[in-house]
Amino acid sequence: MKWYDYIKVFLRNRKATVGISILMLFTVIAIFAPFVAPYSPTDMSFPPLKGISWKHPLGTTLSGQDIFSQVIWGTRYSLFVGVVTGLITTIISVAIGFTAGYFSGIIAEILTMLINIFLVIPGLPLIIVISAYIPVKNIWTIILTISLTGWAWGARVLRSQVLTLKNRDFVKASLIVGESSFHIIFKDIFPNMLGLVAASFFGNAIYAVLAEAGLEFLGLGDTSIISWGTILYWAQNNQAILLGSWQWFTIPGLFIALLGMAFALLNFAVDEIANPRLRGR
Amino acid sequence: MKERDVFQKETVLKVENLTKVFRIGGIRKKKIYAVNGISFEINRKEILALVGESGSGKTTVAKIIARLYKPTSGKIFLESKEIPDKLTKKELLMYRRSIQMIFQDPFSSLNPLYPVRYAVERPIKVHKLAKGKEIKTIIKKAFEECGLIPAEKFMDRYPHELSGGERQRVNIARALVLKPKLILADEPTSMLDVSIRLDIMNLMLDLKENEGISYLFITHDLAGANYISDRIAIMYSGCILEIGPSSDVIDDPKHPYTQLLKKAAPKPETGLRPERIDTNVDIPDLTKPPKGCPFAPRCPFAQPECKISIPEFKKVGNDHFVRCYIYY
Amino acid sequence: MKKDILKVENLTVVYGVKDKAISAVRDVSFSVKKGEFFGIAGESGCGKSTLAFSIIRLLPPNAKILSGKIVFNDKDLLKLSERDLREMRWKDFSIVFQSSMNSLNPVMKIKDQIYDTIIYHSDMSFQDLQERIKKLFSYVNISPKFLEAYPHQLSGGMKQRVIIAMALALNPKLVIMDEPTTALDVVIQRVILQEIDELRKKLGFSVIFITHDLSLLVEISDTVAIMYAGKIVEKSPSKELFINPLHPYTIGLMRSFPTLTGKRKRMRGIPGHPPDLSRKIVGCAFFDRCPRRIEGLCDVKDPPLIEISSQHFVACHLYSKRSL
Repeated sequence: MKWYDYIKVFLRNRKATVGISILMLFTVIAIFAPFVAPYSPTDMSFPPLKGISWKHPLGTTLSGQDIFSQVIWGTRYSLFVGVVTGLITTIISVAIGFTAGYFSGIIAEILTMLINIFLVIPGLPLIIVISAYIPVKNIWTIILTISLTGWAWGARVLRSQVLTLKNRDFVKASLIVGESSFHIIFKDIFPNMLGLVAASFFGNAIYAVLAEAGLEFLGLGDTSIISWGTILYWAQNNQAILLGSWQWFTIPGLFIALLGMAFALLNFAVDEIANPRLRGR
Repeated sequence: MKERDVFQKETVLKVENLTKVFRIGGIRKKKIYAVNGISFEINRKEILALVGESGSGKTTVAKIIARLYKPTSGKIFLESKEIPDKLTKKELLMYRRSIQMIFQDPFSSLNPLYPVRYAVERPIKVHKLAKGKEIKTIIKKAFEECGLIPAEKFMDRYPHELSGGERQRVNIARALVLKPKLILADEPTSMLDVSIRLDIMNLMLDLKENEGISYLFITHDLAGANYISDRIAIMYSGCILEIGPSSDVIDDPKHPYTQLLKKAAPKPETGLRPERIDTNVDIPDLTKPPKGCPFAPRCPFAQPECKISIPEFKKVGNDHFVRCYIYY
Repeated sequence: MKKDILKVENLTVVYGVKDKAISAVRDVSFSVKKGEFFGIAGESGCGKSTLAFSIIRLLPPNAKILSGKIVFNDKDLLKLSERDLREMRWKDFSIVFQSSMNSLNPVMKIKDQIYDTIIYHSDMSFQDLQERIKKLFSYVNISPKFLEAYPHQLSGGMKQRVIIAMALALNPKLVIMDEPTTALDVVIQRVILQEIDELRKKLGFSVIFITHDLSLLVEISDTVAIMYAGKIVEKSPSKELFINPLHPYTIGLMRSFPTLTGKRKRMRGIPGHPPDLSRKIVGCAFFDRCPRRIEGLCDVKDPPLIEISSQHFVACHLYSKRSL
């Protein structure tokens, strides 16, 4: 099967199409935020705590900002952090998991122990603690914090897969033919793991989206920027529920869930394609 | 004819006292004595069958020769030159050109993501045997020599699009293309349909004649070994118990274990009245260091000395040797 | 004339639907008598495993029995409800698979697994059950101390014998064995087959033994049926089949087994491979590979299974004029 055949199978999968649609919708919103949002998100000139209206589809905040514009602009941040963090986490997982699985000897043992240690340490508390102590808080420190705490699960899974593939006959055959380690790793083993790596990316992306939102919500992120998480932070801080402004926090929460769901659907879709036995009849 | 054979007998491979002890378990404290002092020779244009049941260590022997495992002790000689434990990259590549391997599972021996021509192309590229258009010619020739005619019909297909027999032919083509001196065949037909096995074995016989390739043919099937090989070595629990020309070992088995194997194997041509076997079926415990003859617990002729030490090879015929106190 | 314990008539089984349907079993008929050892030989894809699963009615959900009858002891199994079938399984007939030894639960002791299975299918008292298990273990030559062991402490051969003991626990009238010894060594295989034979003489059950090893099958069976591409192409008492094989596939298959005795000579297998069962097969399925095919007849008309001599059936146009 050529690579474009895989894309065709992918698009025929219903979970994949739904996931991609949601993702594309968010991407469009993020790119065209200046045109989609009616106002600037930080503009505080509107009457505060207004309910849903034509002028303000999601009402206004306690400080008089338009929530709808905030949600639109927040898409950029949340999507960016989700994807980039997912990417970086996956790269770390692949590098460590692969090395731990393919090579034998002391390095592999140390790396395996490292993976297990990081797995045992609870992720969210670790993020919180690290975030609480970082002096500088910007988008990149958040991305790095989340990446450095979330790579262990993917690494472990990939390591197991490498161990299995290493023992497959076609890898042994390559060894006996005289192939270099480079060739075996990148041309024999890695292509057979792409499905798992892709699924791992989507899993990491979900984790990243939720972790970022969580951090912002707790006020441990960069509260000066606009993201779905910070909207929730301000909503919570300003007692949105008590003041009857339910849409202030439910809508951003919903968007977070939707983005997470999109990644989850894509994760399932890639799993199904990589392992034909999981495909629905 | 006989005189010529004696003079032309060149040894392609010789292994001397090969042993392999695996260490497994958490702190690496459990040992498995898989191979215990194996010695044999394979000559040019000769097929030596290594016959044994599962756990006998036969596959481990092949993997040691293929340098997938390091031997715990012992020596390997390729054309009378000793092969040291450490080889430079260039020396290793030369070694690989001389010794190739075919595996039991034809499907998992091929990378499922590439068309099958890739498998035969790689050895050519790695060993820089040809360039450009010549590569395709060599691949074509290898495919057709292995019975995949016309080559174009098969070259661009993926492994899952071929039948078991066709896949195994591709694997043989891959081994063949380097023109090796020895091919290690690890149960190459046990996962194939019965009606296809003979043709694959015939292919290997043809390649032996036409290309001068020797084989170490590993199998648990005594009848298959009898068909294809010139000599047979019977392996049990990491030791070779009997070795000799196939006709001698099969027609007149000397070791009690060989006799048991022959008794147990189906032989409908002898009248459909299979002989009764009375034996305990204890399998040898490979975690205990070898002491005495490994077959002694099951041997109907066991003597006290059999449990203490294993005898050396005793000559019982022309090139036919047994390790058994009965013949002392 | 001994009674038929099982009679299969015109059974057809397909996997999948519409144009992707694979005809695994095509119009198969045979019968097994009380106490008979009935062997079915064939290579991969011939439908023998599907046949076994159909008889015990444990086909996967995408398989459908299109037509036919499976009559066990005068009861049509295809007409019974799942509940009735469950009553019959293990008590009236049982099955041993190739990988049965892998179906033992690794975290349960052997004795618990056996008790579980049997108690579910019978109402023996616990006392009687224990006695029965001990007796069965003695039949298959396993020391009763292994009842307390876990599966990983037993060898492959022992595990398979535990499964066989379980299959015989409730004294079924028919035991179906699908490649039960293929993964085992030749010595263990012979020992187990000896044990099964002794048990058969003692307990009187019938056996359907499915394997690809034809040379083994003719040694141990009373009757042998050869399957190819979903059909039975030849069926005869084993001795007769060995001395006088009729169907070109049978002849080819027999010739595919190298011998341990006699002169050494070059032998040939059967060139080609079995047909694609997802396509409709016109005429004889063996046509492409048959060295004695008759163009114009064999590729047009599918030969029926007819009796040529006493109890010797063959589906081949070469013999159609000789039918009894």
